[in-house]
Amino acid sequence: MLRGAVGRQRQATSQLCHLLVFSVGGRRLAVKTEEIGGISAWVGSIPIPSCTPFISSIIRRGQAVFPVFDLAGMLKVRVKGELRLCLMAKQADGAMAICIDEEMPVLHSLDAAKIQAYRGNDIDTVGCFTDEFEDVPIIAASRLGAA
Amino acid sequence: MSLRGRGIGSAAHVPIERFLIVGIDTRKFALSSELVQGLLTMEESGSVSTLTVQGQEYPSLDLGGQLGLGQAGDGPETRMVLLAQAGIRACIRVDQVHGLVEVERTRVLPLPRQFRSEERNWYVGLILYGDGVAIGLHARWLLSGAMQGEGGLLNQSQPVPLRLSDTSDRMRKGIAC
Repeated sequence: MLRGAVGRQRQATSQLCHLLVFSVGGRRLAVKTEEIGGISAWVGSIPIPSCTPFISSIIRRGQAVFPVFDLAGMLKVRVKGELRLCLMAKQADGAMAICIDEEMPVLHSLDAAKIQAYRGNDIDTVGCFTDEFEDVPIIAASRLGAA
Repeated sequence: MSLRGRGIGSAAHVPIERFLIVGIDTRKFALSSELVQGLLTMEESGSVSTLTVQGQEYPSLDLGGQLGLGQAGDGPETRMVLLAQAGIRACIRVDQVHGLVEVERTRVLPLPRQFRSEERNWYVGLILYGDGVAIGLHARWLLSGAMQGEGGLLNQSQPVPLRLSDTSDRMRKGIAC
């Protein structure tokens, strides 16, 4: 019993948060891996006239279509590289595609206690973490486009 | 009859919808075939704001403008599409007519829910077409422009019989069914 309680305490103090760090227009961002449906090559999008901010195209995957969130447009940058990647974000309304830089994303595990509040207001986040270079916002992928 | 055979049989009873696929700019749009009354080349239609075909007037709608796209061009593939439903008539200019497709109703995909704004009233759904997607236009929204427009027509006179003046091979194949 006592042993179990100690175990729980240890778990609470060192809870790991698994992130995927990627870049859009050279800007480094992170997302919780649990909010990602997959990463694949970007195959191009089909524009759809729309009034919804930053959602004005779709991609087709076989017999399914997915909306595209223009994260680069929101951040006022341009996606870099010829061989861009497609990050699929999980949302309650279904998966949504995001075009990201060709730079290969990397997995990053972080003590959840190290997640700080993000001071910027250009994007909806769940916080940010600081690595050796800079503050990296952790985007709230499940809420993108919901505002 | 095997179960498999029944499956095939029941599939034949799936409701089918027909769409005319047209292109404006780089986008493909799908118009319900029940809405389409005919097609005219630019040579036949001329550059008038209201077309008169078989005594019926079809005010021109700027679909490209309504959708925030450019006005359809004036190339060799440009066509005027005559539309009518419930006595409301209009015509739209398109850059290209791709053909007529039959789609099982279940294959008309809903617009993803992340599209949250006014566009939900514009589209009936998304139709898988070739390697891409055609955007199904909502007839009521489309013709609401004719009701609101200066030359809008709303009467209950008899429907215009289908007239397809485009005689190219591609169109013959596409519209013949």
